[in-house]
Amino acid sequence: MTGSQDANRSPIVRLLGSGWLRLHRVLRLAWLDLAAWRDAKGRLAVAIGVLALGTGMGLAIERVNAVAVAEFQAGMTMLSGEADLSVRGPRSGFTEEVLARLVLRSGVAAASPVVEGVRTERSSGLEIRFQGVDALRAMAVQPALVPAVGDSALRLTNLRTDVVFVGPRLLERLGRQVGDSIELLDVSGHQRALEIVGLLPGTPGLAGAVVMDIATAQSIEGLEGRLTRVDLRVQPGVDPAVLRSRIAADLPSGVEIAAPAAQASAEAQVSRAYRVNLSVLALVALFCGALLVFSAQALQVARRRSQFALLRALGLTRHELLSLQVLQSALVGAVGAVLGLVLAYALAALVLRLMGADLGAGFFRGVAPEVSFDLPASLTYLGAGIAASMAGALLPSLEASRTEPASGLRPGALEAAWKPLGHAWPGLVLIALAGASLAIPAREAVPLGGYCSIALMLLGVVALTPRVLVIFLAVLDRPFFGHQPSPVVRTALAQLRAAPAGPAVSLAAIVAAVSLAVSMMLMVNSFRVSFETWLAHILPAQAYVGEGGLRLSLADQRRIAASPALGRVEFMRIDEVRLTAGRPLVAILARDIDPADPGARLPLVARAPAELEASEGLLFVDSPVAKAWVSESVAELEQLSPGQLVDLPLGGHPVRFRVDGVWRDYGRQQGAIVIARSAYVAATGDPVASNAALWIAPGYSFAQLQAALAWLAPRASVRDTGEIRQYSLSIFDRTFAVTWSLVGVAVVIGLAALAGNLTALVLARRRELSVLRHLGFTLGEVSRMIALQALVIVVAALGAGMFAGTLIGVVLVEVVNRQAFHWSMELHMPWGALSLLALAMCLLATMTGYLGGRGVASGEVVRAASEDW
Amino acid sequence: MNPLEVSSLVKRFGDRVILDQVELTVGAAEIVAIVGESGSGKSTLLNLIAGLESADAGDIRIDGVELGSLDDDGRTFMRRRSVGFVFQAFHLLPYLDVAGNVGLPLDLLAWASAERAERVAAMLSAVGLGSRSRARLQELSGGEQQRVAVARALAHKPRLVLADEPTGNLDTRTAGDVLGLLLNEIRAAGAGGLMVTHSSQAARRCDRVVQIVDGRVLAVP
Repeated sequence: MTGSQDANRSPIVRLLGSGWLRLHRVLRLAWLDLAAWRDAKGRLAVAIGVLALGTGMGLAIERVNAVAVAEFQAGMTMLSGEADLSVRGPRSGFTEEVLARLVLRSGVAAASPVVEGVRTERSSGLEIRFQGVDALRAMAVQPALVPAVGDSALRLTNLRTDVVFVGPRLLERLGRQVGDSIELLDVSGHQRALEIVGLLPGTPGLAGAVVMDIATAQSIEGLEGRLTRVDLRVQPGVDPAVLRSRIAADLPSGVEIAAPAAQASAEAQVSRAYRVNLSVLALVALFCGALLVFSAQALQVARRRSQFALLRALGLTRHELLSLQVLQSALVGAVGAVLGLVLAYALAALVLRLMGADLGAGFFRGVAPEVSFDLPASLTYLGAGIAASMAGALLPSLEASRTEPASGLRPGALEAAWKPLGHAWPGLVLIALAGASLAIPAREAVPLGGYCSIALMLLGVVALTPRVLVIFLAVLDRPFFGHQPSPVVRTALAQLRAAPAGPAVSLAAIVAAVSLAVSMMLMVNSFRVSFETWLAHILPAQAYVGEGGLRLSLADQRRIAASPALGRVEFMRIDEVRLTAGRPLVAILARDIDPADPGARLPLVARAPAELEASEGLLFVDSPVAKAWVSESVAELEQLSPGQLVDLPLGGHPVRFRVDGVWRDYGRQQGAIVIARSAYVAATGDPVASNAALWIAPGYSFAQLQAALAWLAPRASVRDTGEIRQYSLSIFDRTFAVTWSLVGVAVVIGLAALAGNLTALVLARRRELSVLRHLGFTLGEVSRMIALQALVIVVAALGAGMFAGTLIGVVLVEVVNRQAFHWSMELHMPWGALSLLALAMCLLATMTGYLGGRGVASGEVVRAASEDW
Repeated sequence: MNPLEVSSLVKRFGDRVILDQVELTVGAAEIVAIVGESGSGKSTLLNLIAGLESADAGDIRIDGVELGSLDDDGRTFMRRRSVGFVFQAFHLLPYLDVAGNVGLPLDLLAWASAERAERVAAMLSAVGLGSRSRARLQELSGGEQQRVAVARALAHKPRLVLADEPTGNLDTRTAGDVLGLLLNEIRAAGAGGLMVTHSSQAARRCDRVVQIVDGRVLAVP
């Protein structure tokens, strides 16, 4: 194109043209420049691998959570069919009189009663969430639940009590066909064989559902004459919101009415904190990936400083050099993120198969979704992977672009360039901000302040790491017990002291990975030890009876108590109530408890002042208020503290209690309230117990107790407390399996970063090591020198990482757990695991350094200094 | 005993003979210049003498000790004790100051602190850098850095100094000064010197010049 032709074009076209030319040139240079990474293949591979891991784990957890919640919510909304409103009661349901009143209420077009339940299928061991419906009423509200509506033969089967309709996906998981049976254990302990007579539609929410006749569901759950839900269709022209508020006023205490979608959302909300927590932890892996890119790019910039200076001297602009580097890191991020996407879907499928939709946490029981490809989520995580890589590369790339052609070609310029890293103030400011951000309140149980603090703390400690290394080296720069160290030690330390930038830069990812691993180890260990202590407190008896919604009648209770093998027995009734509309159900534990000494049975964390108890008699002379002990989550969510009064909806009407104390409950995240069983029976008139704590009489054995209570089978069996504790701990460990796998990932990242960066540092010093060999350092001395340097570097990294990890662990325990899950725990340092981690890293560092030094200082490389001979 | 005696030295790379029956002796206080075209085998000869490569045949004796009889550590100890090096690119350790670089060979030989300090001071004074012992390398010019390298090469009183184009990176005037200093110090120490150079001017200042042609060492008159 000639100059005149160019001049004839419009300014915009010229601008676009010149922009394209510039982009083309940078792209071409970036492509050519990629060859420079040939010497850093290992580091590049580690960085790509970690980015893939971070992206993959993040997306996998997001996908599992998303499909689980979607399936759960779809289940709730689909099962409610075309209902405009749903009336929901506690687990023990509400009487059928409520249905009768609802049917007669003006504005209600149709009402469909439902009994919901979750039971374990005998042969497959799968938890089955089922719905019992009245087929005739359901046709008007939930036609999808009545699949045989058009088939007269099947319509008749809808009325049978021993049949079920199963969703196609669940049928496949069960390995059954239409015509086969499923066996569910009912509350009385009897196996109920139910024939599969038809399929539900394969739509989301129904594909994994089970529908049966309402009478069957009532008898399985022991809810004869009671319902757990009524779905309502509103007459045309009636505002559902107005009708809802009118109905709500007439509902028994503890029963609520809302739109099905709103209820589904509220139920899914219970697991939100857990899901967010896991996603955040997974994203930290991505953060480590970014730091690895930072290290790789920083070392690359250091190594290629003179090349960049040359490129600048040859005419590459500052901006073009920056674009070149950032483009390359984007490419690295893209490769890592694409691999991560593949990993994510494979991992999500594997996790769903091995751990279930709730990632082992116990939410979404009976929900069995499948992984589905989601374009927006995939693109988001692809972008996150690329962004993490670009962010990691930004600082080193900026540094590279600032290289003055003349200074970059001078030796020693690198240390001067990285000198700002040695300043302590950016790290200290970030750590101060981390402390300040703890004041940010949680939002919908998501501890924003805690997460913000963790991110800032990590960045702060990473920023402080070069300073930590310098201080550590200064500490080492003194005679050991009056002796001058050997030339090997002195040379090793002198080299590190004079050029800490390279090691410091390479420490970033290691420090972050160690911090992450240590913090999670501290959190999980604190939780596990506290959980064990809690179990010992909460399970004081030697044996227990009661699982799967057992109902022990008064006669049962008398018969148990009369057993000569029994020294003492305490019964407990478990119920559920809704304290606040829109919030999940809270467990009511009505148990035999000494109101004067609740601490004997409950791990109390707060107690009402003694003066209050003394004055209670004066305040409530005629009718002393019964005591209640609320779990930490109830105290937090309902803003209850010792001394306050609370109305519990029992037996369909509010009953007033005084909060006598707050106790620690790791069993029920949505909350639990302990009251005396006598108070419960007085309020409800229901003496049925759900379980019994058993103390063996002197002279009797556990086996004799089991034999004495054998009559309870098959409804229930006597279980040894030790066995229950073991089982509970196994569930705990399963819940934290994902967290442990993240710890594992962090450790692998740390070790990979360590090995990769140390090797890179050793290779970068090839010529210098050769000079030492010329001067008379033996191969062993050079190897020991590098091993010592590696050890010093890793000890500094471990120190910084463990410090940061402990602080982050404290934030996780004291802030994140309290705000997200509303439970407290004591801090317990996992000394054994930490020592193992430290030992493993020190050993790996020493070994990598020794072997790396040996490899570099031997053979052909030893002549590096004399290559010009 | 001569600092260096090379006899019947043969080195092959595959079928190609690089050095063929090389005979070379460097006496005490004698400095021999090696000249030759690129690829003539100069580097291979220096590598063999430094104990960095193994010969296919022949003997190399440094201060009477046969290198072939030593293992890698033995050859390293030999270098540590008896050989000093001066490189074209100085190859000083950037993380040590001037005195640290000069004293490093003494540290390796475990000299007592007082003697070490005295020797370092003497060497730095000899190369004209007595007042710069605590200076960082970045503060020194190229000529000054090569003076430090000379002091380092001779600090531990080696029997043989191997120099690789020691003035190749210096300007003519500085090169002349540094070369004079190097030669004087080697002679004063009574050591032997073997210097690879492409400069005929530098070669002429040595006691003897040999040329490597087709793998053989020829005396240059």
